[in-house]
Amino acid sequence: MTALDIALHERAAERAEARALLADTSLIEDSRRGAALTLSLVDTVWTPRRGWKWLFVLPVLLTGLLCVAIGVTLVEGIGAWGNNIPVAWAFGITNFVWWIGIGHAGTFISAFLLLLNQPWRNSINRVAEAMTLFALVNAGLFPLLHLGRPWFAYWLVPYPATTGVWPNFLSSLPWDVAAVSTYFTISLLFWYVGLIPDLATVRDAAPGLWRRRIYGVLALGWRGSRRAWQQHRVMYLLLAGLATPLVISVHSIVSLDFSITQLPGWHSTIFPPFFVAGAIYSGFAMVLMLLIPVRRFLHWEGVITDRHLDLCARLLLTTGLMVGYSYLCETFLAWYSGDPFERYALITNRAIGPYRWVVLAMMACNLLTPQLFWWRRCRRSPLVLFTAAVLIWAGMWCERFTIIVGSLSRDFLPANWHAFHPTWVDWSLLTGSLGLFALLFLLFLRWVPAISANELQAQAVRMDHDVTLG
Amino acid sequence: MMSRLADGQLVAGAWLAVFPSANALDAALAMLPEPGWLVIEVYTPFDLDAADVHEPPRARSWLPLVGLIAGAFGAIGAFVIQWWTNARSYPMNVGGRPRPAIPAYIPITFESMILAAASAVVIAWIVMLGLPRLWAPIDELDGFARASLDEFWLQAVPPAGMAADVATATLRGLGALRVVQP
Repeated sequence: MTALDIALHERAAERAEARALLADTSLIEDSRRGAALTLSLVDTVWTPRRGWKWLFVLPVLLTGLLCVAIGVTLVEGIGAWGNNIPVAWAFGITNFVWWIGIGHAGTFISAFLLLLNQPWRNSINRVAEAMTLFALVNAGLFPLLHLGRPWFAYWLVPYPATTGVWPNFLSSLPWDVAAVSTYFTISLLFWYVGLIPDLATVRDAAPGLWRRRIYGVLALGWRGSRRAWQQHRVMYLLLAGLATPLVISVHSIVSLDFSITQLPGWHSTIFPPFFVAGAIYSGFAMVLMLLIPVRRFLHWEGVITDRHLDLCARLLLTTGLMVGYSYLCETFLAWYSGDPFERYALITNRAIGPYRWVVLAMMACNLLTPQLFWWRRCRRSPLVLFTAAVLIWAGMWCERFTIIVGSLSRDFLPANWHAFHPTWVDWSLLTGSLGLFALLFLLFLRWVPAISANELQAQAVRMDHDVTLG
Repeated sequence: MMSRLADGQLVAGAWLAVFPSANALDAALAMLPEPGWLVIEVYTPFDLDAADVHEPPRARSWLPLVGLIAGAFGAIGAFVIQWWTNARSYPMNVGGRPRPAIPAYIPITFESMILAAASAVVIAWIVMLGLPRLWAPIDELDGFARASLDEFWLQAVPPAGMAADVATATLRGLGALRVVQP
């Protein structure tokens, strides 16, 4: 068998697998087709579900709390936080790393799964991409505030200042600026260009002149010609191809903030893959936390099916095992290195240090919880999945806290050790950021088609055809 | 054969036929060229090629080349800026790292490459399709708005000398719900 035969055989097998996935009717259980299906997905824009305004109450209150905490931080400086020396990063950077990690699942679903020809992404990619954007808004907020004087944030950008001083590109912090701003820009572009055909559907189907005008402008005059679709597909695949290495690079760069330092517990070559796996892990937990209530509230069980939840749970299990392997690996390497500081930071301090309860919570949530997903019944139970997702989501925050505060508070010299105690401003910023996320997400659900109706229509046509063929 | 007209343009002498499904439109597209119809464009609520059970045809596009060139410029530009600012204009000794510290420049070089390539691809796509184009002659046709919802519109020019009733009958015979002559 020649190399060409092997390649052709592999290609045929891939296509057969893709066909089998497309013929999987459990991905679209809704029997409606055509206009009925599309309208059921986009009419949320002009027909809000009953009681939707009440959902905004708590997020608005929490966002108000966030504004107060930001105001206090701007007036008093970051002395209002519990940070100290040596724990200079604390909650601010914990929240930054946690939020940016959450965003990664959105890009994984929209870009990775598109390149891998996985049709199950079509029902959930828009929600996941929106989650990425709003998580990045929160992620960007924390390092900005942590600067102390956020109004000088532009100093991080190389511009010809009269002082003749430039940013120091040998530091990892300008790398973060480049990574996060690029990630946000690409995520926004990817989300918007994918949305344009559905914005055109809203333009043409929604009642009310002003609504049609606004969505008409946002749709840029999209008419769905074949040429437009062909170029759209090329552009969309190119963006997916660019976003895929980007998402790996972003959390790798975030991990370099830690691993290029000399601090015990941070100085490790395992950090980039460890952080990327953890990011996708926490992101999928968040995806499930959003999908389960959304599909119930908007009655979308026919398009976000138990099969989707099952597949998300499998990825949660996979990434959870990767994270568990990373815990094991870094602990073993700390012991194997023979370095007393590394051994203390990763073994002794985590077992009996002041934050051992956080470490215990991290282990329980991140290692034990996903083991439920070996059972199909658990993978398909919304209640079990939602509870597990919340635990993992919280467990990943504990992991970020353990890495950052656990290591900083116990560095080389015992005389230098200092515990960290969060203030009310720290807690308010954390809970307020949750409120801001929820508020942005609810606004998205209210004003934007939250499921990619055009991709789902195409998938339904292929699925029906393949089912007919048997 | 598809035209290179701007989206929504109407061609003199062209007819528009409205089909109820992607399959009906596909069948019409396969049948029309033989008797001499010139297919100008189709307008569909979703990507027909994505719904096609066959391997989608490779669309010819400049977009990958645009992305490649912009990505190269982004990467080179970012590298030069870092090298010039930190090793030439205002050299600093940070932890004894060499000047230039090329490995330290890689993350921003990579990010800038992606940013430039992706932005250029999207801008080129918008320019290529002539967007934004908020109005076009085809928008004036009754019912065209459904082309983004559940109808499949075909614009085609009949063979020279074909009578109007024959053209209508041909399109209806292929499953068209309505036939419009603008």
